Amino acid sequence: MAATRQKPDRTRLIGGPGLLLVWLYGVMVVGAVSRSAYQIATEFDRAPLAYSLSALAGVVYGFITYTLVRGGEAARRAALVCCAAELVGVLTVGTWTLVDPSAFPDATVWSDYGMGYLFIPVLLPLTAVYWLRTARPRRPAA
Amino acid sequence: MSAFGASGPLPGDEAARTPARMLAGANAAGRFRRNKVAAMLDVLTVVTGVAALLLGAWCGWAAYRDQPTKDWHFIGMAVVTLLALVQLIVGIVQLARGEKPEQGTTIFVAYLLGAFACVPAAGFLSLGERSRWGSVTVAASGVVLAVLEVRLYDIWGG
Repeated sequence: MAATRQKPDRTRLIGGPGLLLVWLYGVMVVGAVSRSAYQIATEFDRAPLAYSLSALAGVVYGFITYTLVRGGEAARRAALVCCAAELVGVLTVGTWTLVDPSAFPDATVWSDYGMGYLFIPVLLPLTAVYWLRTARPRRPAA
Repeated sequence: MSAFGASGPLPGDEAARTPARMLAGANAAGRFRRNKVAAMLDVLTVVTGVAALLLGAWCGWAAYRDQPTKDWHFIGMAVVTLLALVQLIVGIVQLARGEKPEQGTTIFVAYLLGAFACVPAAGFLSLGERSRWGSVTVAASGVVLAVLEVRLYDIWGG
């Protein structure tokens, strides 16, 4: 288990700007998960695609939050990959909702590049990738 | 009901939702006869939103001056949290009295809980981060809470 490794050696990812990132990701987790859970439970047939995408977004946000809190090099790499996936997701779904609005009878978290969420969904991954790259360990991993 | 016509052919469950919408419409029509508690909820929403923005500006100022959150900031957070708590209680009292939020009870309660937890969560995080970034996080929570209050206002149908 990872917990048996010495903790102090892990790259701390929630210091400084990372704290703000964790908090915002936490907000997005709550927002996306609760929203999609409610919509899937009550009116899934109305916009299955939109609600499934919101749920997927919630899962991705949850995983990124976990990796940030956990810290360490492996978590940093995993978070980088997820943030890239998140960015691709926001851009794809954002463009999709603009090109083909009829596929989305209701909004997703990523509709119109996350406009309903103050564009946080598109700004977060950019900031996170930048932060995760600067948090790279100074000495090469043993 | 013209809003439904604009959205094209309706699936079956959409038609089933109509009575709820009509109820909401009736609720909105009777807005002028709203009781004092309802007015209190609207006032609380505005006051909490403004207080949250002030907290955000205050902590943003602290961050700008490269300071962590201090005792006075935590007192400010406590005040905003208290407002959100009162709002939560008044909201639940309203529901218990049989009032219906325009966009649904579940969403209303979820937003009330989110609004209540928003600032304290950031406050606890900033306890462990004794740098300007703790202040930035609390400032962000103030902005998020203000947004939640705007949404709450819409959900309630004010």
